Amino acid sequence: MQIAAILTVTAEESPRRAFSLIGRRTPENNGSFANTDILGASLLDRTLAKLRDLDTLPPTVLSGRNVSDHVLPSRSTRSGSFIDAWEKAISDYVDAGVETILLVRAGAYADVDYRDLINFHHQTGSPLSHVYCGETSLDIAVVNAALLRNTDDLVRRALSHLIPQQKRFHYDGYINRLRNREDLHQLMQDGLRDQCQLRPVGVEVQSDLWCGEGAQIDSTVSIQGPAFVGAGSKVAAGCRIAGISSIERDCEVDCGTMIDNSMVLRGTYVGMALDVKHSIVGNEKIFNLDRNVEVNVSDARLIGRNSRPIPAWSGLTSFLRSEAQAGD
Amino acid sequence: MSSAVVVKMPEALDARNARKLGRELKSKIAQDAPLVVLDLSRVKDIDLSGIEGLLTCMEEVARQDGSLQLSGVSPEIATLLELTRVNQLMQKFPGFSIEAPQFEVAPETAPEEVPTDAPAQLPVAA
Repeated sequence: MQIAAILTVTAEESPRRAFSLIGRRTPENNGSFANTDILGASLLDRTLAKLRDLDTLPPTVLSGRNVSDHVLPSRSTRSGSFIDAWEKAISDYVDAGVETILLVRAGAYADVDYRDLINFHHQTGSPLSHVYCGETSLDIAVVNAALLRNTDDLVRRALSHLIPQQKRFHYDGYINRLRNREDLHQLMQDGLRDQCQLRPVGVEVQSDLWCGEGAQIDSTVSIQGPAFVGAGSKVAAGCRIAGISSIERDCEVDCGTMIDNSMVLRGTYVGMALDVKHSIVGNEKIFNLDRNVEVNVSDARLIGRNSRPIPAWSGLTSFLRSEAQAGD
Repeated sequence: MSSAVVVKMPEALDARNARKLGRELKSKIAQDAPLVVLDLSRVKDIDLSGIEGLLTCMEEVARQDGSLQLSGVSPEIATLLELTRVNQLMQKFPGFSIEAPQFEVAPETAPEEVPTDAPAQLPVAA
């Protein structure tokens, strides 16, 4: 049985737009955290890895700024580059004889077992199975592709016709909707506290300290875990890491700085002798969770970008590369 | 009753304004144990030079056994002061209160004097 998967993700307009302008209070995130590393890997990469474990065909990843708010666009959704690409991807799978299509929108984080969902879908014989947490739908659905074959209608309309017959797959596990930076910080902490299946990408080098490959921590650094230091990151002499914190990939935390109950986003330089408390730092900005305020830090000696370039979609390219190697 | 020097800080506290602040403050706090208030209500951006300027002020005031406090600290500036540990240093100064301070918007860094009363440190963190 062939299973295909389409993963949609809201694109960040640019790395700078991941945070807002100076001093503006923006508790809600207008973009998506799908590309943001959390404990060493982005949600996008983690979802792709889950799909790989499911033995789906190589998944189609669609990214756009106008991604529908739901995994199933309504029949009235207007055409556009994203929705057209989404419909074409489904049509291509249908034409290729795929029987089951898994539709996932990388938005909220949930520990849904895709294999259980697929089994549920087949056992119930449902044309459309949709994951629900209580009365709220999650952006994960499975559709019987055969029902979309030989239809002259637009895919979104054909799918809409299936919605009244959909079966609900009830999920009552961990969920984080990742609506704002507080949620992002919470997910990082829940991962380190083993509250969900989001595990740090690395090795637990001592109790409650996970390190990615090539992470360097000076011997004078004081660490009160749980804590995570991502691959290629460097924590210099005299630093202190406390209060369930993560330092993501390719970061540098300079001498004497304290990272407390905080998250240092991928590729960030944090200057010397600073106190980062209950905050998220990155992209030359600090977002203080207590004050719910974001500050543009104009001086790269305080918070800047680490010199190592980080290509966008690097996780996806590495995934595709591994797929290509697997096919060789 | 002693008087406090209130310094209205400019919108951008950079190297140039930090130097100017240092010069003006030195000329205004010739007395022993000066009481200085840095009004940060207009400040929107501080770079490392600005932080160094604040530290220079603190050093100058401390050298004369004076006291320094901050006013008009926005949540954004409080975040930067916490990040750079300036808030911890501020706590070293003895507190004082200002009696009916008359703050006027000054176009540039402009110290002014207002009468002061007994101690009470204004909070740094917003």
